[in-house]
Amino acid sequence: MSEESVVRSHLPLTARFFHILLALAREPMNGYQLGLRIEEATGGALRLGPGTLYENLGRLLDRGLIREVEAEGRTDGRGQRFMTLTDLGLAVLRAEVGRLRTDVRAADGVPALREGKAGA
Amino acid sequence: MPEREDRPSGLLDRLFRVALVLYPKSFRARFGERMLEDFTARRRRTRDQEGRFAAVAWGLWALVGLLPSAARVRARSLGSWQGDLTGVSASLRRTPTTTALSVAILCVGVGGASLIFSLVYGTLLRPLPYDGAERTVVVWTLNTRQDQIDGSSYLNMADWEARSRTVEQWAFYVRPNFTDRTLTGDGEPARIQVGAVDARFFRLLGVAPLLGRAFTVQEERSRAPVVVLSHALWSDRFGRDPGVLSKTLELDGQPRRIVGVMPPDLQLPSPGTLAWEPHSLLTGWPDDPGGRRTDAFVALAKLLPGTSVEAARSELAAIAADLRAEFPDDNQDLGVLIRPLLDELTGQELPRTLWLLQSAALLVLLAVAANLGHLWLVRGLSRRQELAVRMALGAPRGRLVRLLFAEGAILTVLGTVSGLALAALLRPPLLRMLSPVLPRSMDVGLQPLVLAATSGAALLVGAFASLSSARLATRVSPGLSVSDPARAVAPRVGRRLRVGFVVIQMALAVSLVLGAGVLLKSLRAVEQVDTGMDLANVLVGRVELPRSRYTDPESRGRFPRDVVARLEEMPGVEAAGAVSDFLFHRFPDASVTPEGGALDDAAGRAPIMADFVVPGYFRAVGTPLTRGRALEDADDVEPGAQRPVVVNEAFARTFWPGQDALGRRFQWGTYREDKAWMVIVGISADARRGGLDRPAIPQAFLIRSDTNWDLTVRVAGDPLAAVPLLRQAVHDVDPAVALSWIAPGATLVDRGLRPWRLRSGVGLLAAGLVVTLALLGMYGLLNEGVLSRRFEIGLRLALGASPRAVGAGVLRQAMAYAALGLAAGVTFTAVVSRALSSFLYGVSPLDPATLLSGAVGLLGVAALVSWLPARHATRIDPARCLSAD
Repeated sequence: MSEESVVRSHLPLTARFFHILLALAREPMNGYQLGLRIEEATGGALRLGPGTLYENLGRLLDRGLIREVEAEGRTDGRGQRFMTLTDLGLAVLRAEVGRLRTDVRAADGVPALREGKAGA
Repeated sequence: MPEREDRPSGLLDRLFRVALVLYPKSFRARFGERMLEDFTARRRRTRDQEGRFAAVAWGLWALVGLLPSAARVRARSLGSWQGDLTGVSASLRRTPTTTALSVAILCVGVGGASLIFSLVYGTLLRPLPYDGAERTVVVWTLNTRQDQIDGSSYLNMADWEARSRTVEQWAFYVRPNFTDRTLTGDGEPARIQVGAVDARFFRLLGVAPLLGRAFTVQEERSRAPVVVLSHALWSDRFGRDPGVLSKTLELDGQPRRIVGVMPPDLQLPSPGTLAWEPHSLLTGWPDDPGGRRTDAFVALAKLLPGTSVEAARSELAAIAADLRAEFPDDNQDLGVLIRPLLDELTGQELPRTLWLLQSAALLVLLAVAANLGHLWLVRGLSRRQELAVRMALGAPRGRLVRLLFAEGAILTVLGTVSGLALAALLRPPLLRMLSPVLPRSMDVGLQPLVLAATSGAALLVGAFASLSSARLATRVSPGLSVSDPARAVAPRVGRRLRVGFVVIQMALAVSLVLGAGVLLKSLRAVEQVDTGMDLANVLVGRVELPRSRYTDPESRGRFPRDVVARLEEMPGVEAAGAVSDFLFHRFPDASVTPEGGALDDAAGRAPIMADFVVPGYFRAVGTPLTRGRALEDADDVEPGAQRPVVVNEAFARTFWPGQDALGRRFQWGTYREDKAWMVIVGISADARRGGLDRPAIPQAFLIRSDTNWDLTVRVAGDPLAAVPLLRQAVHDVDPAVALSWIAPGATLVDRGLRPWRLRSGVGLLAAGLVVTLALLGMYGLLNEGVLSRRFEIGLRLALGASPRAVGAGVLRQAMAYAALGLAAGVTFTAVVSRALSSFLYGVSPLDPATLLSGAVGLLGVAALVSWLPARHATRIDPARCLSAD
C-alpha cells in the first residue's frame, strides 16, 4: 500500500476528528486543554464532553493519526500524557485541508453564494 | 486554587466514575483516569467562571454524553473485528496457495485425529448403553494352577448365585466362541453369531425389545425353538418388516419362531451377535446341566448399587473356596475371575492398539501445529514490508498482531470444519472395515465430546501457530524496513524459530517413520512365521457332541472317526482328520515327567498341550512328520497300557535337548511307578496354532476320545466348496449333531494378523502424512532462505564463486536440518521405545536396519527437496540482484 493511498483512506475527516487534529497541529496538549481549545476555536459550536472526546482520541490513536507523548517540563499537576500529531496525522490533516480548500474554491465560483461572503 | 479541590470528590464525580463502567474494560484502562480528572477540572473551572448552576448543568450534560459515546465505543470494538475479518478474507484470497495448503493440512490432521479419537472414545471411554453397566461384571472361572481363564459349569454358577449377597441380578450365557450358527432357508447360508443366553439376560441389561418380546423362562426350560433378532439381522434379512413376528428364521436347518427384535445398540454377549436363542437349545440344560468340570458358560452379574467390584470379588472368591472344599475332585484349582463388562468387551489387545493410534494422531497434530506455525510465519514475514508501512504510518502493533491472528483464526475454523466433515465422510467405510475387530463399533460416532475435544485441539494448534507467527512477523523496526525493501523480505527475525519448527517436524517424521517401519517389519515377521501347516485348501468345522447321548468314551471316539471315514470316501477330499481343538481355546494345561534322568525343574514346569486327534489329522492340515510314524487307530490302547504318542519338535527340544526323542517315554504329571507310560513314536513339525506371534508350545498328540472335535478336511480346490461335503458327512453319521462353526483354516490363522495389519497400516498412514508435512516445511524454509540471501549469494557469484558451490551450500543446510531432526527423532523414539516394543515381533524398536534405511531415506528425500531451492540459488543473476539493492 503506498503512503498516498494510506492517507486517502482516512478522508474525509469528521468534524470532531478535523478539529482535534487542527488543535493538535498547533501544539501537543492533553484532553482537558483540547476540549477547551476546540470549544474556543469553534465559538462553542463544537462542544466535546470527556466521553466523546476520549472516544475520538481513542479512534485517532488506533488509526495512527495521533500518538501519546510524555510531557516534559510541564508540571501543572495533571495530564502528564499529551497527544500529538503523527506524521501520518499531519499528512491526513494537510490532505483534508487541501480537499476543503478545493471545495470552498468551487463554492466561490458560484455567484449565488457570494452574497454570503459579502455579508461576512 | 488549592490542590485538594482538584481531586474528584463531589456526587457528580462519583456518578461519573460509576458511569465509566459503560465503557469496555480496555477503554477504561486506557482513558478512564484521565476522563475523570478532566471532568473534575472542567467542572471546577465552569463553577469558578460561570457559577455553581452552570457547573452542575455542564456536569449533567457531560455525564449524559457518556451514554452514546460508550455505546459507540462498544459497537466499534465489535465492529473493528468485523472490519478485520473483511480485510482478512481479502488478504487470504491474495495468497491462495498458502490458504489452501493451510486448510488442507488442518483438514487432514483434524480429520484423522477426530476419527481416531472417536474410535478411542467410543470403544474405551464412552459408558456402555446398558442399565447399570458400570456395576455389571462378567464372572469367569480361573484355573489357579495354570493361571488360565476358563468358562464355568452351570452347577458352579448356580451355587455362586445361590450363595452370593453382593449381586443384584445374574444371567448366564454360553461362551460366544461356541455359539455360531448357520443361517439357512431363503438365500445363501451364512455363518452368524447367535447369543445363547438365558431368559434373564435382557432384563439384566435393561434392554427392551423394539418389537415383540424376549423369550421366557418357560421357553428356556422347554427348549422352545424361538429366536430374538438383532436390529441388524431384522434390517438385512427382513427389510425391517414390522410383521416379522409372524415369521420364522431357519438356523442350522431348523425353523425358529421369531418372538422379538432388539434395538440396534445391543452388542452382547459378543460384538456382531445377530440373534439370541435360549441357551438350552445348545446345552443339555435343564435335563443335563453338565458336570462341574465343564466350561461352556459365562456368568453376567449386576452388583447391588454401592457394592464395589472388590467386595464382589472377595465374596465370590470365598464361595469358590467353599466349592473347592465341597467338590475337591471337580473344583480342584478352580477360582473365579471378575472383570467389569467394559474391560471384558474391549479385551486387552485392542485398548493398547487404540492408545497407540491415539498417540500417532497426537504426533500428527503436533506436526500440523509446527507446520502451520512455520507456514504462517513465513507468510507473515513475506508481508513485512506492508506491515512495516502500516506501522510507520502509526498502526499499533497490537492491531497488526490481531489482524494476522484473525487470519489464522479463519484458516483454523475452515480447516477444522472441513476436517470434521472429512471425518464424518470417512467414518462409515472405516467402521465397516473395522467392525470385525471393534467390539463397540455401534458406539463409535462423532459425539459432542469427540467434536469438542478435536476442535479444541485444533483451535489450540491454530492459536499457537497464528499467535507465534503473528508476534514474530510484526516485530519490525519500521524505519529500517520501509527504507530498505530488499531487507524487508530478508528477515532474520524468527529464523531460529522456523528452523525449530522444521526440525520438530523432521523429528516427528523420523519417529513415525521408524515406528511404522518396525511395525511393518513385525507384520512381515509374523506373516513369515511358518505355521507348520499348509492350510490353503483346508476346511475346519467344529462339532460338539451332546453329552446326553454321547455318554461313553467309545461313542465319543467313534463319531469323529466315522465322519472322517465318510469324508475320505467323498470325491475331491484328499485327506481328513480331527483334533480336539484346532485353535487353542484352551491354554497349555498339562505337565509331564520324562523317563530317565533327574527331572529338571524348569523343564518339568514347561506347560504342554495334550491334543486328541483322529488319524489323518497331520495329513489333513499338512503338518509334516519329521521323524517316526503317524498315529493309527490301533494306537488307542486300553487304559493302563503303554500309549504311542506323537510329539512336536518343541516338545522334543524341551525335554530332550540335543537328543533324539524318538522312542523316549514320559508320564503325565508327576512320576508314579504304576502309571502308564507314553512312548514317542513320531515327531511332527511345530504348528503355531496358538497365535503366530507366540512361540510354539510343546505338544503331544494321542488318540483319545472327546466331546468337542474340530474336523479338518483337505480338498483339491477351494476349501469353501467342501462345506456341503462336511455338512453331509456329519449328517450321515448323526443327523442330530450340528456343526457349530465352519471356516477355512487359512482364515482362522489369518484372523490373528488383523491387529498387526491395522497397526502397521495406521502407522504408515501417519508417517506418510507427517513426512509430507515435514518436507513441505523444509522446502519452504530453504526456499525462503535462498530468497532472503539473494544479495549475499549474488555477491558471491559475482566474486567468482561457482554455482555448484552455492547449490551445495543449500544442500548442506538441508542436510543439517535433516540430521538435527534425525537425532531428535531417534532420541524421541528411544524414549518411547519401551511402550512401542510391546507391539513388535522379532524386531527391536530401534532396529538398526530400519534406523539405517529410515535415515538414508529421509536424508535422501531431504536432498531431493533441497534441489529446487538449490537450483534457484545457482540461477541468481548477480548483476540484477546487486543493482536492485
